[in-house]
Amino acid sequence: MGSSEKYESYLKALSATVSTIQAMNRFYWKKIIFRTFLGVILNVVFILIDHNSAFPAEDVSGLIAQGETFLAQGDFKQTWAVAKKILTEDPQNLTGYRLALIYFINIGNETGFYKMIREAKKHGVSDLAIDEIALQLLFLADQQQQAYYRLYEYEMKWRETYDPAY
Amino acid sequence: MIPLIKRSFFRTPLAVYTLAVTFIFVLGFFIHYGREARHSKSWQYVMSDDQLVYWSIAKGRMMSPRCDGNPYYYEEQGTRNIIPFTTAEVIGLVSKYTKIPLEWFFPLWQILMPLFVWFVIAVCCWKLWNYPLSVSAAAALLLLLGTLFCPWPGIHTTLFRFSRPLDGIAPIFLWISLIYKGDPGNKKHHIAIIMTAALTLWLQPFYAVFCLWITVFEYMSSIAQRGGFLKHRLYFHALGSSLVSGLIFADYAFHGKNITAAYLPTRDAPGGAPLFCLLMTLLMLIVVVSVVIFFYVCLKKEVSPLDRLMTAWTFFGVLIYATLKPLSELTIHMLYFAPVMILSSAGWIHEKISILKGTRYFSFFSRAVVILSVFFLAAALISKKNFFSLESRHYFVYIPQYFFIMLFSFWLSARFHLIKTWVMQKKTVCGIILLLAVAGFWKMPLSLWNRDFSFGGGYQWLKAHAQQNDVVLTASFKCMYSEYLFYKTGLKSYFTDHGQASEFRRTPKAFRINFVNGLLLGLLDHMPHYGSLPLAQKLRFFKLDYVLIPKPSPFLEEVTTQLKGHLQEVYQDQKCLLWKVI
Repeated sequence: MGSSEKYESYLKALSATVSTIQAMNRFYWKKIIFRTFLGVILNVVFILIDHNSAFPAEDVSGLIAQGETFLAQGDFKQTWAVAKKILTEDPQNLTGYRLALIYFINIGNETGFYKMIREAKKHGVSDLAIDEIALQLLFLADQQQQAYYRLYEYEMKWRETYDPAY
Repeated sequence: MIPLIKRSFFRTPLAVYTLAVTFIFVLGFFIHYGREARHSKSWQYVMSDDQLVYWSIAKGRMMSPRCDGNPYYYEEQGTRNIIPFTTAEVIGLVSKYTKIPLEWFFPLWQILMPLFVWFVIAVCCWKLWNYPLSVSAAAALLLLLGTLFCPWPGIHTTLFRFSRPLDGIAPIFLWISLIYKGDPGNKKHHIAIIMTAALTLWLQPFYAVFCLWITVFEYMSSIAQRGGFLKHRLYFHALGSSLVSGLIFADYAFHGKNITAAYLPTRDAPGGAPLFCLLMTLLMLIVVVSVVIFFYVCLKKEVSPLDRLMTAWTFFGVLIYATLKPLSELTIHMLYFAPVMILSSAGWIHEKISILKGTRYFSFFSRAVVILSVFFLAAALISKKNFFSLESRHYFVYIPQYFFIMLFSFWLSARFHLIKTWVMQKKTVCGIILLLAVAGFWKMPLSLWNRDFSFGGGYQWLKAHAQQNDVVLTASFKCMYSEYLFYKTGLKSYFTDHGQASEFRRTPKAFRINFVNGLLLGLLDHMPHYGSLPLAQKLRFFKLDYVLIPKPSPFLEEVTTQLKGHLQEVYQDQKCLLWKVI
């Protein structure tokens, strides 16, 4: 969800809450309680909107299917647009990163490719998982030298995690 | 009679110093390689990547046909390098004809070669530069131990590399010493310079370039002072010998069949800025020239040989960094000249401070040193990026650091009598040397790829059962930078980064890297350009006899699944698994 859409939803929720509170406010004796309630409810509504859980999120699996279709059609620009949407909804989604990495490798943007890998790691995606995807893509794109060096890093990381003797 | 000679020999100071230095290098060997052996869990696998390359070249020279051009690949048999690796080749041949195992030469080299280098430097300082023997011995040892404190990767180059540049350090010191301090009336000096010039060129062409520059520089300045081209026979002989040796060298390099490009392992682009190095060398040149002019004008002191040597090498640095590309071989190998630069700086600083001490300028100099020290210390405490934390693959960045540390140390002993008295005591000197030796050898970084070495058992099996020149694919990148296979078994690698890998990344040789990557990633069916080839044909595209894999491995499943039906297990232990390709 974009920031402008979030803001609009917030305003709608705010106006609805305010009119409810105003109606209740006719009762003088409940005025102080209502004011407190107003503050609490506004904060809760804002927090919920901010965390995207008050409103239904876009369907990630639908987006993935959409992204795969664009990819199959060879439309990398659309693939990238969908990948961005997927990653906005779910910043740990491996398919989203795969689509984004395919886009970067196809347009030959090496900086973007490695930046996306760093982004994934920053968002808590497992190092080994994202590296494996990157390696496969580099191999398929015939970037053998880069794949070769990254395989070394991949194996070293793997050993640090799974090889007790290492 | 013989016992008497022996006893008297061991009583000479030179013999005592030699024994003490031997002890230091033996101690250093066991400190560093003992740690490495503990790290790899075997004394068999303790080499650094560079060492392993050059020892493999020595082994390649022993093989029939020779394969020192690229010892790793089956297809490159019978090749030699354009530029000879003279020392490595000689050791390989000695091992071949004397039947002494090549491995035995490793500890001998690591202990005896530094000892020989120390001996030559000490004798040069003593006999040619006329310093006392004790000072010469201590300075030469401190110089060699001092290189252990240079940050990576320069740290290992002087004392830990086989065979270059260590084999060239002794000749370079002898050549330069003879140029500045040789006696034109002494025939031995003429013979020595003729032999040294020829030898240096064959052992280490980079050193020959450096020495030739210094010789020409000195020749020119001598002609400017005294005139006559043929008067200066010592320089003339050095240049003549270099010319003849150079012509034979060129003939060797560019004629003959089956030569490959000089062996160079693939390297990453060196970090650091050559522009920064240029500024540093320029700064050094300005400082040296200013000091020389100051001493000549204000103190009426003649230009000394050390003045000329310092000017020559700083000028050399400026020329190299100003004219050559940052990644040119000479630019990268400037680190080879560090021992000469450091020792000549030490002598020069000592000479200048000794003169300055008796003059009215000394108090001004003291203030300048204190202010500079406070400034650098404050910068080091405030910022992580400061003068002493500079790191670069371009070694020249470190020369001003060494220069400043030496300047401060010499000033300290000149300014405070108590410190001078303390430093001049034998016990103090011995203590400092021992401390530096232990600390220096202890802090040497260990080779990551030696850690828990997996293939020892596999190599033993291969050595016993494999045919000569069988090819082994190591399905692991754990040892990407340290391929022991050829050195330990004499067998060939399917792909290794040390085997002129860059050459094998180009089509059609790129098949190797493509195949290895595809195999480990489980994507053999999707190999770019070769995906449609049947697996059996892929396996026969280049000779492949064995597949070796460490245990555990992230690639085990991919390898076994994809090559199912083509592998027959022949050896297995706790650390590795070996298949024969059928």
